[in-house]
Amino acid sequence: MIFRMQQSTIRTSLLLLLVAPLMMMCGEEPDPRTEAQKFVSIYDNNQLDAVYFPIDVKQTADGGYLMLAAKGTITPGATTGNPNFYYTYLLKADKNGNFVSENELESNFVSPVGDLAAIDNRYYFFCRDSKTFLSKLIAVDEDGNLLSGKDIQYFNEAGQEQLSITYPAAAGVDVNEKSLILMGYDNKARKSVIVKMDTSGATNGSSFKGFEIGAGGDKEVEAAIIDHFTKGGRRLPFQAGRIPGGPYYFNGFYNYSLSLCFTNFQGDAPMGVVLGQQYKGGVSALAPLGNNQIALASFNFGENFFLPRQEVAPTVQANISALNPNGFSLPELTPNAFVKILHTTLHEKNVVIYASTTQSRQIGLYFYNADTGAFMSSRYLGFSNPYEVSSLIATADGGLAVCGTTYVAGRFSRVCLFKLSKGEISENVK
Amino acid sequence: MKRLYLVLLCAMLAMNLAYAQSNNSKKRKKTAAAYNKQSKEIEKFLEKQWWLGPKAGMNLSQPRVEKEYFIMAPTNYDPSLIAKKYDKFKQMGSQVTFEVAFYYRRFSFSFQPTYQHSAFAYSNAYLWQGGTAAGQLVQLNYEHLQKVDHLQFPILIKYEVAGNRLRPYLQAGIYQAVLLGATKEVTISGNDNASGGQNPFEDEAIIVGAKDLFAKNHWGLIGGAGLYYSVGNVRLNLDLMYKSGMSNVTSSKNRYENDRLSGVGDSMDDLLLDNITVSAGVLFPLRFLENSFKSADRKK
Repeated sequence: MIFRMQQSTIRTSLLLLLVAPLMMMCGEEPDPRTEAQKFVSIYDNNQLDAVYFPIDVKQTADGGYLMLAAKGTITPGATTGNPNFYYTYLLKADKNGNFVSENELESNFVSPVGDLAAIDNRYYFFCRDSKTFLSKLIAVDEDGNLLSGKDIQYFNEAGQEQLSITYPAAAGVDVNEKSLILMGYDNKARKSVIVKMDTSGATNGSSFKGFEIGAGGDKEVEAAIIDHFTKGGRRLPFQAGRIPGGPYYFNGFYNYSLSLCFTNFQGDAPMGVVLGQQYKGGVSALAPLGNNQIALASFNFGENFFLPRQEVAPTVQANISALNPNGFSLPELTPNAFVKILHTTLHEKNVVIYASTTQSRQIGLYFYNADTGAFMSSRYLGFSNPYEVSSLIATADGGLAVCGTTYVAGRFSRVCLFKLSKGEISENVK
Repeated sequence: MKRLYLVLLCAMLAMNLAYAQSNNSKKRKKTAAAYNKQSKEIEKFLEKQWWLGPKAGMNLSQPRVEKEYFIMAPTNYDPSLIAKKYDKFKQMGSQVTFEVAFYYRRFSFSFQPTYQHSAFAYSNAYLWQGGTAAGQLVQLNYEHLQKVDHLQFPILIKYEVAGNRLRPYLQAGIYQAVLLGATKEVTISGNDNASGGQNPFEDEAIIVGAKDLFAKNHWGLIGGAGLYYSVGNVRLNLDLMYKSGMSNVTSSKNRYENDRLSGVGDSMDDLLLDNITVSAGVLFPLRFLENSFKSADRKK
């Protein structure tokens, strides 16, 4: 009790009380260097009728972010043009996610497709010419400024058309060869066409191939393809790329079904194929891991499966329904969910990250050990308003950037960008 | 409400003690000689003295923006249209303090550990218009109310300007604050004039624990004034302080940690928090509390 203390003891205690706070006088000062490590940005347009569908994101040399999106305008009273066209839109953000600039390309460059390929500080993607339906190879600088646009149409020496790719559906990049891979749909021949080209759009006579979507074409399949391009229906998981050092692949229509096909541009049939179930079952996304191992995502009549380490040789002849039981079922995802897979190294661990959209309209990230296929952890992004994933990349600082769509106020689709720091990602890959 | 009860309880305790001291002194009859002797003893008593006691009161807060942060990044309109607008000294808070002061020749060195509950608010608004029909628009208004609890450790120097029984004083000092807890409430209302008619609406408020969004420590400077009123051996105290935050009160590293808030486009700015506090209390002389000392009033 204070009443029983000696006076000197009380005074000493009180003096200590006076001095102690002086010794710990401090505050948390913001560190501008950490601002780029973690942020959330939503890029808003105040027009009611503007809609955005982000496609891909890349980190630029200045540490900023270049995003590719399709932009549409709701035009119910349109009497000219095609209201179903989605224009090519590029958005540049700085390293902290702040808006820098936007660039909406000329109106006949429509329906852009990813991936957005980064080669030598230039960025490449494909879109469609609204008048000729031809694929166009677009090159932009790191601020999204147009550098060039070239029709993907090849002629032989006699001036006859050798190949033209209409309806670009998906693109990939071979970073080692600095080449681009494009898959398109030839609506005249009803073929899925794949072509490899250099960054100028040039190809040689043996680096393309077309595969029939089904003998005589399939009206229902073709309708699904057209719905995909006009966004009047489901977004189909078209893909194109190359197994590093190996054959090329595309996920497109072949033999009446959405199939994962491997080709070396030889022969009339793919060298290997994982057949889907018309457009109701098939591969949602893939990322080659090496040694015939692929991180795979699949869908089957609305259900979703992750197969983080599935053996798929390029000569495979299989049906997706035979592979699905090898995977993990993800009932929390939206039916036939759009999936992106990133194979990367985080904290010196070989990791596969699946990104998709949950039933609750959050972006779900699922981390797997790429060496074993074992599940590591998950993380969810977005709340309050609906969110959908479009793309994810590893960033130079060891973190992740996730690009997606959010519906501001529940209704206005806008591009959003999540930047996750290296520190918080380390919790997912312990 | 619990905090209000606590403040009232402290105030009542202080009043009760002061009233008891006052009654005690009134009961005594003093002769002139005894009065002079007593005055000298009181003077001596007051020349060098430790004072202790509680005080409590109300506060108003105003944030000062060091740097703005936005989640919503406008692409075709001016960001100032959606900038946060902070209320200035509008939201009422409360505080309870236990003061320990050493008095020496009009100067007091005072240590005042304080539990302070502060509140501040800001708002912002978004507008989308255009569309297919004239007059179509959607407006969203966000009201953000922050309630923050800190344990503060102010150290002050007081100078008693004049007086004997009534002693006005000036004070200045510094404080260190340690975060105890915080909550944040976001109310979203708006007007939907794009779905076929006018539809004003207000959504369910989002209420979240927000301790992670605030800095664990911050510090600031204090200036102020007050009054002592001596009643017997105790002093009634009316105290006015202006606390000026000198370091960021929000957490920069956790700015985007709360998904619910990020989801609705909210991120906290870097802020310095200023407070005006008004407190009333009572101070007891330490020697009065020690069993070796007999109060001047009690000596005969």
